[in-house]
Amino acid sequence: MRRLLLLVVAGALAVVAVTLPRPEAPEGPSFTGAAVIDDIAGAQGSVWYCPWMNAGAIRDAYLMLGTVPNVEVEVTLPSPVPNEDADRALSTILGPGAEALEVASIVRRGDAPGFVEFDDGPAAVSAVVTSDSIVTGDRCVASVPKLWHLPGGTTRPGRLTTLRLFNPFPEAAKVTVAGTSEFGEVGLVGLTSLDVPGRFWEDIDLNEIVPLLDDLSLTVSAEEGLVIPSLVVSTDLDEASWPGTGLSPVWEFPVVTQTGLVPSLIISNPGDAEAQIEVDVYTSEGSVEAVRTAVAAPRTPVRIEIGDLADRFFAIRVRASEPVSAVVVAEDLVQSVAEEAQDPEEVVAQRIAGTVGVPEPANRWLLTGPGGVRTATSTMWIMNSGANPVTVSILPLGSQSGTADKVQLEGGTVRRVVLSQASGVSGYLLEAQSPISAAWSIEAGDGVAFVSGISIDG
Amino acid sequence: MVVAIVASDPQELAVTIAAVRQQVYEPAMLLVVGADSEGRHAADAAGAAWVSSIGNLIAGLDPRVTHVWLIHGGTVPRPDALGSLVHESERVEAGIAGSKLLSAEHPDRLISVGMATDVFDAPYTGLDEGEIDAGQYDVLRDVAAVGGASVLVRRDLVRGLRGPDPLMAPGAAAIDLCQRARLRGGRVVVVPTSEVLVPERPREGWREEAGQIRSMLKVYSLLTLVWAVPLRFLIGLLEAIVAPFVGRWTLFGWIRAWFWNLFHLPSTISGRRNARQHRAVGDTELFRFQLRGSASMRRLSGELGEVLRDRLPGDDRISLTEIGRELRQPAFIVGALALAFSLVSVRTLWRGFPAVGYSLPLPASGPDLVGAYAGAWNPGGFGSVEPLPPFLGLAGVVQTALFGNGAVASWALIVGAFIAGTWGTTRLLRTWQVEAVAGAAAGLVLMAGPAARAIAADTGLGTLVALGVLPWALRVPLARWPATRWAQIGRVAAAGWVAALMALGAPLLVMAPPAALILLALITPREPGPWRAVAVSLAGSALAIPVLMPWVSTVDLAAYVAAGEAFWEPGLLLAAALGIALLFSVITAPRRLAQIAGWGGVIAAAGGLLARTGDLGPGREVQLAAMAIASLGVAVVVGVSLELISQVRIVTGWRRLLAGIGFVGAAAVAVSVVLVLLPGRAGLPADQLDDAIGFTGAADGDPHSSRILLVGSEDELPGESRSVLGAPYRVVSAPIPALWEAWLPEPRSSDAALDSVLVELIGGESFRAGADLAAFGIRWVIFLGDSPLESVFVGQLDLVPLEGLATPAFVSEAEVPVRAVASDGTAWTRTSTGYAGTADANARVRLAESANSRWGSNWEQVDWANEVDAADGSIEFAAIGSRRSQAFLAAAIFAALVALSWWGRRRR
Repeated sequence: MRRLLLLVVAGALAVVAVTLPRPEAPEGPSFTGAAVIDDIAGAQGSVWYCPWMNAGAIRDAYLMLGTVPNVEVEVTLPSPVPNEDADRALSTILGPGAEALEVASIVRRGDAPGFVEFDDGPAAVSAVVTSDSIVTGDRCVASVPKLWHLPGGTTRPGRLTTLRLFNPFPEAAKVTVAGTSEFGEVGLVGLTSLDVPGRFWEDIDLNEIVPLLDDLSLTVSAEEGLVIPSLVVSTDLDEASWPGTGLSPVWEFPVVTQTGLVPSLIISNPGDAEAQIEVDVYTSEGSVEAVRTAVAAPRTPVRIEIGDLADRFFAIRVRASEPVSAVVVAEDLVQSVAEEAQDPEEVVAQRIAGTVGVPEPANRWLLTGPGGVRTATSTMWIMNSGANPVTVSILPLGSQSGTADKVQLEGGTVRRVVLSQASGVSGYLLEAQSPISAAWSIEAGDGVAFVSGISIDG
Repeated sequence: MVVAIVASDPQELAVTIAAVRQQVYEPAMLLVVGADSEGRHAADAAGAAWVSSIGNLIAGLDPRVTHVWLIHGGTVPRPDALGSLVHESERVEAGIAGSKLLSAEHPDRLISVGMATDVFDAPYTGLDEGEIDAGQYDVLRDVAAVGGASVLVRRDLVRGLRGPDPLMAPGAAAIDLCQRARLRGGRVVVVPTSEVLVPERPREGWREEAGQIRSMLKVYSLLTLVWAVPLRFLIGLLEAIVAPFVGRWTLFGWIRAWFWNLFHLPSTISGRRNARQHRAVGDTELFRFQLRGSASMRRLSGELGEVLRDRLPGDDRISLTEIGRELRQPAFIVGALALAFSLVSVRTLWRGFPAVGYSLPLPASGPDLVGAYAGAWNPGGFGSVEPLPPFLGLAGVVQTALFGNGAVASWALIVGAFIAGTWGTTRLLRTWQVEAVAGAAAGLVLMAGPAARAIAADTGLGTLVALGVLPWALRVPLARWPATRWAQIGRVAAAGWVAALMALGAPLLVMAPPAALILLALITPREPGPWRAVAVSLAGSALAIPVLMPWVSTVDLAAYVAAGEAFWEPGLLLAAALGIALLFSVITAPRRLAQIAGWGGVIAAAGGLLARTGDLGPGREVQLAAMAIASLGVAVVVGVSLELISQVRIVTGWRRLLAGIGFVGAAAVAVSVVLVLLPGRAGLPADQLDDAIGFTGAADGDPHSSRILLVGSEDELPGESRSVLGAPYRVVSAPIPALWEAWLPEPRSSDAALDSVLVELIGGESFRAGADLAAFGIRWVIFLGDSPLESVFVGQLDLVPLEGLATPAFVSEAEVPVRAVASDGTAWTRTSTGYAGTADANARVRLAESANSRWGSNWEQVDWANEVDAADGSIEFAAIGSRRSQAFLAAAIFAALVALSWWGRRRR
């Protein structure tokens, strides 16, 4: 009997042991870190990466710095010579303030991609490159995702498209560049698992690889490490550049044209489903929704001509049924005198500008750079895509504190503000009660550039 | 001629004096030396003179005296013994002449005809035990030494040598006298024609050994001592381990001999000065009559061979019956096999504990480890004053005893546990007449069976050591209750120190023996022993608690018990095999063995149940202790099941058939122990950390002064870990953390600061992780596996990735990512327990350790860290006095328990 009892007790304990559940392990977190494209100026220190800069015998580059609080700024320009220390510059900006830092004051060696660190925020950076004939630039980026979208390229005659892959980090990156065109996916030979050494950059001439494509949209995915890409489209005279973007169902473009320029909207749909595209137009008088509609087929970029949407200046909003990437490219189309006799339809571009949109309006914006280049004319573009009027406070930023002006925008309108060449002003801080979008453009000599504004978090 | 009778027992003097008076060669004077007043009375009664000591004898020698004959009381020299000695000594001009010694009880048996020694001054007579004197050695010859019972020494020599060393036992004193005489150029001869009958007395083992060591220290040159002394130490240790298999227990004697010499070192040095001051020859002359190798080892190997010959059947007796008989009584073979298994199973631990999980190498200094346990700085994470687990105190003591060699200490701890566990299980099961084969197999199951392997796989080093003591914690209370009061007190004390030793490895196990014995008492209510054993065990466990100071007085027990998660998943096949063994052994065994098997089964099941209660709150330490309990239960079941098959007369018929099935189950469990043999790590996992982070040791600068941020899953990280937003990480010292870093103290402001930095990095608010982490002394960020934090560290501007490694690793580009930086920016070097740098009265040093005012002079808290003066050039943490006192008290209690148990054992 005792034997049986012992066996029963032992067996019962074993059965209870078997039935005890395993403690639940907490689910592991997933950190995107800096991988989300969210190029806004937050209320803390930040790093802004500016791939497309050049300061040499022909070109000058400007880092357009803007900040709300007092900040310590460190600019780092990696050397193209392996194992050589980067060139650095330290600066202090009293906030709110802005400064146009000439890259040549740090180093003058041609290509000079770099990055800017702020110890506090909100603060942001744009980059502008000028020469006797060109002006190019756009905002820099603060995000470092693994996947970038770069629509708007072209390798048709008269255009040169260059992809710059800037790796500001110590770790070597391995990236794959994929492309789509009006013919669908295109093979980019040699751009699979491409090595980009740490603290270095690679320029890829896409005309050599895939010539004669009207539209070329790229994606850059990093298998190892990270890169900051920039797409550059140039004509014989001018050059346009814009950073990589993410995907969004809505894009607002406060600036799409300048006097004489003919804008186009290029949309890339990387998804598997068709995207229904609607383009709303905003003028100083009001807006018209769905003035253009299109279908963006999967992995086929679509170009929508928008030059005829309004007589003068206007802005657009793009709404898509699927997340898409989008850029606006504006070109100065004039007939070629040399070829006029042979083909009256043939035209060549003189000036070119391009920019990325903003996915979401915001109450506060930093426009870093307007007024920073003394030889250029800057124009501010403010767009109110909402239904209600909004009063916008415009505070000039620079070495000297200025006083804020106020402008009122009716609902569904865009305001173009030609900026005076005020001494010491290198940027503007915009504040409104309702969300707005903002950008600026710069014009000098034969060149023109569109620069997206940078929204301020909160 | 003076005859000096060295008296130890006055009762024996009369017969010796009578024999001396019958000598053909008449001495000028007869003296009795020593034995105090009793010796004097005896001398007076016999009409002999008396002196208190050899020294006084020598000092008062008449110049006309040519020789001194030293004989021991109780010896009976034959009438011509002195004459032969004098005649032959003068003929060959010997300094010392010794007699042939014969047994007083059996005068035809030889005791000694001169002797050789080994280099360690251990004697070797060359005689077989009980060898008959047939005159085979009757030739005068030079020898290394002569027996001390009858020695004729030239007067001038005995004055120069100051006679035999009074501190030594007789045998060692004779060897010492002869060695010193030879060092001065004197001949030592044995004169076989001089016969002396001596009573056969048991040798004073440890005193003789102590004397031999002292003799070595006195006569040899320093060059010889450099290698001879350590070798003698190791030979003694080896003998202590192996001798029990031939029925000798030399461990305590060995320890006492060395401590005796340590105590008498000043007088040894004085004696050495005297011995070597007027030396005429060198060590080479001393080596002339010495054996090659060790006399102790020669004796031991002879004994082992004899036992082996006795155990092995002859060629004509190889039969199943004979093998069966051998299997039932093969204590030596089984013991040797178990020892061999233990040695092979832990062979790779010679290099120290593998760096994986909670197994990390011991620190460089044993005393520092003991100090850290006893109130000094706990270096886990960013440091704390929280006490280290008691196992580290034990490991530190062992390491200190082994001259600070951490690798040997690691090996000794585990191999000691294996041997103790196997032996203890055999002894425990012998309580119920389970024989050696089954007992030893059960012992191996205890230490290398499924549950033990799970403990090792979980890197429960302390529990593994405690597991080796666990069967003793049951065996000691269960042993037959002694009759005398002192012996009873000694038994309780023994239960106390055994329980304390076990608790030092795994504190929670201290409750296991009383609980197991209560269960046993309930199962066997008619037997009086278990209930007394319960009482003894309870008393022992209670006595063990103070030995855990200072840990036990400061630890948060609730947190200790709940840390981690208890969930053991034993292999189903072996669990089924154990179930079969249990079922059939309980059914088929005789009543008592069936109860023991059932007891083991309930223990195993209860342990298994407790080891899976993580969902209810218990943590890792509970799981480890529970697995140790389960291992004991499994061992008991296996031992009984294996034993049953040998009980051919009791277990018969259908019972034998079922017992055979149970045997197969138990054998399957037992055979599984071979899984620990091949890797040779006692079941511990292979080293993972060294491959992943060991490269940091080769970095430029002083890598030891920096830290590493390790990232990976909890299982991949060494020891305990923290987490930031659910992602595990931990900070360790470069290049390889030591064992005292395995356990992390409660989070402090330093941990909160690091957490904050990591949150900022995760949130993309900072891109210079190198600079941010340098403030914590972190120079490397190394991933041990997949982690969501990898995406965070890839996009940093000042973390350089390191190529060629299996997992991602980054090194900081920050200027001084070290733990201690002076105000002028220079890095301070990390010592074992502190920091060192350039002394500067005007400088301050920032220590990246958790803030604590004991870190130095003019201490100031800066954020979470410390800032102190650099004036001294070194910074050390001032230990907490109360904890140090508690540690001393704990050591004293443990020593008192051991002493009491030893005393009680002698009084049994």
